[in-house]
Amino acid sequence: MKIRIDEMNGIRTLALAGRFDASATGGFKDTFKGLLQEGAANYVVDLQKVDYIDSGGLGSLVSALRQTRSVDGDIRISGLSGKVRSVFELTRLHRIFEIFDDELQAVKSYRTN
Amino acid sequence: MEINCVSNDTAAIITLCGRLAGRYPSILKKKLGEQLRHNSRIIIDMSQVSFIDSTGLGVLVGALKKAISREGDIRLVSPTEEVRMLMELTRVDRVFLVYSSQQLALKSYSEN
Amino acid sequence: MNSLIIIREKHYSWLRGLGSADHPAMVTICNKPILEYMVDFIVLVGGKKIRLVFEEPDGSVEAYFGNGERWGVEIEYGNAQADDTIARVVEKNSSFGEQAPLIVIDGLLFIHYDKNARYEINPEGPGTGFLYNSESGSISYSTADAAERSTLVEFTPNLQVSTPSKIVNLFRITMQVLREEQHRYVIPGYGADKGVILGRNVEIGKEVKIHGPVVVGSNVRLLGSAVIGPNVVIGNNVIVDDGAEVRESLVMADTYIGRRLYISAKMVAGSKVVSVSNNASIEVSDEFLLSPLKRSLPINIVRYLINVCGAFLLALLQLIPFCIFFTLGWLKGDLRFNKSRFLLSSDGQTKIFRTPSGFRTGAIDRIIRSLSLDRFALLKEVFSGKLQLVGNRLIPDTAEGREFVKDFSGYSPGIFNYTEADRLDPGAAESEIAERFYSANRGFLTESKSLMKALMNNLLYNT
Repeated sequence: MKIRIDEMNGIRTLALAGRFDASATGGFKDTFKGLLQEGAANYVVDLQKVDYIDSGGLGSLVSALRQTRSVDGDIRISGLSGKVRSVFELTRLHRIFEIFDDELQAVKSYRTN
Repeated sequence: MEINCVSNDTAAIITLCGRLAGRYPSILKKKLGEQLRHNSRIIIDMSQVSFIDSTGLGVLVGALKKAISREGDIRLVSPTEEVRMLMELTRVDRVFLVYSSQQLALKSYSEN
Repeated sequence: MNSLIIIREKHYSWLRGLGSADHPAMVTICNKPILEYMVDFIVLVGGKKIRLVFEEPDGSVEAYFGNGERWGVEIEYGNAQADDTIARVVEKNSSFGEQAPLIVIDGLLFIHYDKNARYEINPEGPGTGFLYNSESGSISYSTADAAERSTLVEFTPNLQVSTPSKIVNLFRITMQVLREEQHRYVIPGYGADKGVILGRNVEIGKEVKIHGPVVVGSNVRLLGSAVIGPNVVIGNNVIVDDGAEVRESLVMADTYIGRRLYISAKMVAGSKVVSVSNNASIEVSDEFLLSPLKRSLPINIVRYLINVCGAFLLALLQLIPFCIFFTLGWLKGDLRFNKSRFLLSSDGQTKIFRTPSGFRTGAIDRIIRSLSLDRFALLKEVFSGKLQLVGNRLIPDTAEGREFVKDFSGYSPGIFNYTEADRLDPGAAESEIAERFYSANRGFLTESKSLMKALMNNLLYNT
């Protein structure tokens, strides 16, 4: 799975692409750990180009969310559609993540918080 | 469920308290059978019956038939809304005379 | 023009008490989901794209509406949190464009529109205005170039909106539609004669009398000399038995009405009867009088057989070690067991199972765990269908457990579970995620894999 890191309006964004399965969780966790150590607490994770996500991938998103919450930050999700959205809803993650259509709106939402 | 009987010249007043379901309908059936041997005019105070099932209703209807065959009757006092609804559903409300108090029920017998 | 329809729990959750398995927004008025009336309305005023935004989504709505083809619109689905303002919801659904005007319906609203009328929205300049606004919800309209001002919006002809918050409200709206407004909406079914609309697959006995106006759903059987109407709506999958009489009433889906029952001015759902005059309600416990008709879920024979074969094989492999080590353990006094009650299904069935307690004293105890011999006694439950070989973690019968399982319609407990297969902490969020994920994605390969993983984990991490 590819992870593209960017920054918009001071918010770190991660655009994921490909399959977010058990083999990708290690890479995601390491990447995220690195970003947290740099000090950023608020993130947007864009899943537009993710075509498959399983419980491992979902679990690592939740684990990352926990870490940001512990420093008073948040992870907002954008680009959720189709099967990935179904899986999110099925595992009740729509209750704990704020979900946006697009990355830019998710980034902007931190300002109006 | 508790069953209390008070007899007087006009009619026997049976007060029920609780749920007329489970094993209680058959207990009531025996009690009613006994009462009908002495007095075929009965008043059943239903104001404290919180629940009745079809067996309970069946016992009341069966006792009514017996009472009528001895030229008596079974009249009911203040069934709760829930009991009344079940009686309406099963059309049983059409065969019983219903009164809002024991006095009125007694009066109805003495006026006859 | 685009539309967002926001479905919030605070407006809809009271409908969950009616006992339907579907999402509360699918509650029907004259056998048509209230949400579909909203969709019809949007189509009528010119909407091209509709997004249904849920706080608590479930498959039943998506299964019904799909991509909107049937209505000639594009239907999409989205999510919102309980405390999101309308502005926030619009932000979250931004791909809905600043290019087109936007109508947002927020709340449990029944809009008394007329399919034969022409509706025009005449805003006095750009901005956002309300077509309807009350404590129970709103219909707002934003022009394509809306700023955040609020300007007057005129909607001709005038819209009447009902906001049901109680069962009697639903009843009143249904009767209003049935008696006076049928022509204003597309009611599902085929018009037979005067004021009688029938669904598909309706069986009507020769001596059944129907007095219109009556709307009957699909898969309904009216038997013997039943009398239906006037002013009756009968939902889908209903049986009205011989001699029963239904008038001025609503019979919800999946209900059996017994012989000679008399139903007047009531709303009936399953075994529950509500009087519309005084809101009193009763639960009828006698099934032959009134009962819910369960839509029988097909028991998966193949799945059962595979489970049975697997359990049998495992039992064979474990039989000798079980006898040896349990006897040894019992002699040594090393064995500890807990007897607890666990939940078997989301409708509350329970059973007491013996499970090993947390102690790990003694080598015998460890060997028993590593060979998964502690599950041996549970294998017989597979034959009775009470447990799967691999399934969800057994949830204890506590108040918390029951809450959790009520919310988890796919709950199917197994002797080995997904949480231990993935070595997850049973208390953590990751465990719940895995449990929900795997139970929705069941398959022979994935389950076999989970079983192997569970067995291997026991072997590797207990010795």
